[in-house]
Amino acid sequence: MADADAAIIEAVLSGEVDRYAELVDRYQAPARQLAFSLIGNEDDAKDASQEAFISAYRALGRFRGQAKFSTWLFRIVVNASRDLQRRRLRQPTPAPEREQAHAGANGVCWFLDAEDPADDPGRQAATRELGRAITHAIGALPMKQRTAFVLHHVQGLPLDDVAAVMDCRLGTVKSHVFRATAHLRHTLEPWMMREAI
Amino acid sequence: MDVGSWIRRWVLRHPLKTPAADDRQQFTADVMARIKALEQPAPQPMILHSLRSLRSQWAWPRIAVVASTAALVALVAGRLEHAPPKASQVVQQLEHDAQLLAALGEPAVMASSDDLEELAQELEDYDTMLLAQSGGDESDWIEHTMELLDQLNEDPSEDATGDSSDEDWLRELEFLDDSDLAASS
Repeated sequence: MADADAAIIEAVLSGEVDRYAELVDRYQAPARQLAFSLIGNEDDAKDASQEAFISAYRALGRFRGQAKFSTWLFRIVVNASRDLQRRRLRQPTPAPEREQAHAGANGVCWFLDAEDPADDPGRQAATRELGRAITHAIGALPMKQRTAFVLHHVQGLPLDDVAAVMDCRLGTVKSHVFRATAHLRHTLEPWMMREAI
Repeated sequence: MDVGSWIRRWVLRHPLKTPAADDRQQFTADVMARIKALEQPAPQPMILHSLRSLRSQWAWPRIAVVASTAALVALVAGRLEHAPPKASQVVQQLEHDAQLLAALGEPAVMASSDDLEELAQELEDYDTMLLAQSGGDESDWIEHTMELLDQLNEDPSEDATGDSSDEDWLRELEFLDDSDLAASS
């Protein structure tokens, strides 16, 4: 995949601009999911990830290829999401709406409703509720802890890559993930106990 | 079980929502449209475009025009710097000098303003005469010189023919040295 990305990047830099669409197609889903899990609003996540793809295109000549393109892109997505959130916070928004704009606010769920058809309706409803609870718990984390936790446990990136995306040391990432896990354990423990039964 | 592992298991069973296919296509199209817009230069008003194309077409003549203008300015400045003072300027200078002398208590031997006007007129006539003479042929000057030499009874062709050789000059110098020695002793 990295070689394929490198070939596309080389083609784009040599003037085949249209080939950048291949990279956008390939990485827009994880980029939008990441932005959504950081911002908590689908439209804003779409805007932030579009900005990230355009910024990445502008800076493509400076992409060294030492890291994976996805890692480099995720870093831009994280920055774009943070910038957009800052802009939103500066806007004079009524308090209830601002509360709704928080990532994982009530009613928002990041996960597909992939219930088992064999489950009874009560179980299906419980699964949907758990999905919303996890979304809300992660969304309530401080930004850096949320970013580290989502990248590592939700997106599945190795801790080294998370450090590269967040532009910090590995130890710092581990600390963020540890704290986030401690917060979530406290919030989601009842759910974990219920799931275990 | 660790909460991280538990959530990872949850994500495996309930993956993150992904955008619909139509939405994905639209997203890619929007990004590419914005990138294409970045690649193209911003549209300019027609007049500006015409002027810029004119400027680019007239690049070399423009340099020539600038160079010739600079040369013309330098020429005019040089002429102004070396131009002789006009008669009126001389009169003004004389008046100024007279005022200075009067201020110092020196008797200013100065003519009246009528005399000054006459002086100015004379100076202008003299300038005109010099100007007329300056256009004369070189042959006139040679003829004038020949007349002067005739008046002094000099033969102009003597030196020109080169009859007097270097030996004659040396002999003459030796004679002069000997006579000087005899006189000193």
